[in-house]
Amino acid sequence: MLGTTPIKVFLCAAGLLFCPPAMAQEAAQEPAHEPDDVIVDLADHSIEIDLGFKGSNLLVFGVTGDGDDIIVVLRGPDRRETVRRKERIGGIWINGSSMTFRDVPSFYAVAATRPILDMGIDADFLDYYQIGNDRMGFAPVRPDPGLAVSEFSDALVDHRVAQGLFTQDPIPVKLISGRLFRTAIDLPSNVSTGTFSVRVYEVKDGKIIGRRQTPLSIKKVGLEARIYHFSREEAFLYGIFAVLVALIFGWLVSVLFRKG
Amino acid sequence: MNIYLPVAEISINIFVLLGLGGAVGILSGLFGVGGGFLMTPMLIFLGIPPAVAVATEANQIVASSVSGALAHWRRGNVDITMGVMLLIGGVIGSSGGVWLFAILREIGQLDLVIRLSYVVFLGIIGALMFVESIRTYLRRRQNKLPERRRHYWIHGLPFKMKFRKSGLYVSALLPIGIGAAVGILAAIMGVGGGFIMVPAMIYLLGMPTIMVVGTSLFQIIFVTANVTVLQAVNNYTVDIVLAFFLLLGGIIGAQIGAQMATKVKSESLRIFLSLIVLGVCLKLGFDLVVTPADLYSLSAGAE
Repeated sequence: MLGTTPIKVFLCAAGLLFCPPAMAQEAAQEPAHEPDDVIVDLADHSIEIDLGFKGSNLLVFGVTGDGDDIIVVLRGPDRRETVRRKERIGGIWINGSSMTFRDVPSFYAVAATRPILDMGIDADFLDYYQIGNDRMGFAPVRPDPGLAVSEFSDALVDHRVAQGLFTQDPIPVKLISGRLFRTAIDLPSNVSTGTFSVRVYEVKDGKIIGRRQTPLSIKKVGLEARIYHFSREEAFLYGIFAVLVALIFGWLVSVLFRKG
Repeated sequence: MNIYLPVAEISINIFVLLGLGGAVGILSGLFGVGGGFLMTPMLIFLGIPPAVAVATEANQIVASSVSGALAHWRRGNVDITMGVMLLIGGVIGSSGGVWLFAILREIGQLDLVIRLSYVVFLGIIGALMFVESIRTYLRRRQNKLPERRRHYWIHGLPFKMKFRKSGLYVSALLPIGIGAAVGILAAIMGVGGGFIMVPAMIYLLGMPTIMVVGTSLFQIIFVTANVTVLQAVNNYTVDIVLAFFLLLGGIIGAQIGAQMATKVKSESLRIFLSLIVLGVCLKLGFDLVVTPADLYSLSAGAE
C-alpha cells in the first residue's frame, strides 16, 4: 500500500493535524502491488474457542522488503472500558471515582525484532500508528477536570497486562537470513472474540517504510458457541430451558433416591 | 481437565466444580440446609464473576428444592395456600431484586452489595448457629418448642385468610411480606432463603414446624425459577454449563450427606457447620476491609 502512494501516507502520518481522517483511511485501504513490500501471513486466520479452549498461539510470519526491523501489532476489537478506583469509606473499600475510555482494544500485543526505542522511530509516528501500550492515546468519554486521565489510563494498561491481554514488553520477532521473519503471539483463554487485526510495520533508519495488515478471526464454535448465542439471542427461552433442565434433574433425583 | 464456561467466560477445572458441588451437597444432606449461602461465596472465591455466581446458583437451587419439596409433598407436609401467598410476595420481591441487581451492576456497586449482604447474613446466621449448637451440646436435652400464637401487632393486619392445613387465621399480608423479603435475597445473593423464611414462618406466622420446610421449599422452587429466567433475560448471567456440573456434584454429595446423617450425631457437627459459615463470613469481610492489592477495577462498556 505504501508503494503506490508513499508520499501521501507519509505526509498524512507526519502532519496528522492537518490531514483529514478520511484520507488516512483511504490510504490504509489501498491495495499494494509493489514487489518490494513486506509480505505477511498467519499460520491460521481463524481461531476457534470451544468447551476445551485453554488459550492458543498465533504464528505470524512473512518476508521483509527493504527494511531492517519488523514490528508486529496484534489488536483485538475496540470497545468502551470503565476503570473504577476503590476508595475507603467507613472502613471498607468501595468503588468510587470512575473513568470510561473509548476505543480500548480488548487485546493488544506488540512483537518486534529489537526494543522499539532503539529503532529511533519518531514519537509522532508511534502515536499515529498506536505502537506501544502508552501510544494508544486513551481518551475519556466524559473528561472530568477533577481526575487525572493518566492515572486511570495507566491503571487500565496495568490491568490488561495482568490479565495477559496486553503485552508488557515486545515479544521477540526472529529474523532469518535478514529477510524472513517469524513470531508467535500467545492468546490466553480469556481472549475476546471478534475480528482482530495483525499489522506489520517495516522499519529502516528510524522510518516506517512499509506496512501490511491481515485479519484474524476469533470465534466461539461448537456446543460452546451454541450455548453462548442461545443465552444472548434467545435469552428468555434460554432461561426457561435452564429452569426446565433443573426441574427434570431435581425430579429424577427424588425418584431415583426415593426412600423405601 | 478444564472446561470453558460459555457465560462466565473463564476456563476452570471440572473436578474443582464437581468437588465444590459435592462438598456443599454433603453439608446440605447432612444438615438439611439449602447450601446456596455457601456455594455462591465459594464460586466467588474461585474467580467466577459474582454476578454469574449469584444467577447460576439460583438455577441450581431450582433443582435441589424440587427434590426436597417432592419428598415433603409425598408426606403431605406442604401447605399450598400458604405457599401461594409466600410465592406472590416472592415473585414481586425477586423481580424487584433482579431489577436492583441490574442497576447496581451498571453503577459498579454490585460486587460490593453482594459481598456486604453475605457478610451481614452469614455473620448473623453463623453466630446464631454457633450459640445454639453450643447450648444443645452442653445441655443435651430436648428443646422447648418455640412459643407460638402470641399476640403481636401483626395479628391486627387486614386481609385475614384461613390456612386450613396449618390451622392458621392470619393476614395474607404477612406471608406476602415474608415472601417478598426472601425474594429480594434470592435475586441479589443467589440463595433460596430458607434460612430466613423458616424461622419467620415459625416465629412470625406460628406455622406448625412440620409444615414449614416443605412449604418453604415449594416457594423456593418458583422464586428461584423466576430469578433464573429474569437474570437470563436482563443480565445474561446464567451459566448453564456451570450449573450442570455443580448439580452433578451436588446430587452425589447430598446422598452421601444424607447417609452420613443417619450415622453421626448432628448436634456436634452443627458447631462445625457454624464455624464454616463464620469462616466464609470472615474471609469476605476481611477482603472488604483490607487494603486491596489493586485499587482499580475494569468493566466493559458503561456510559
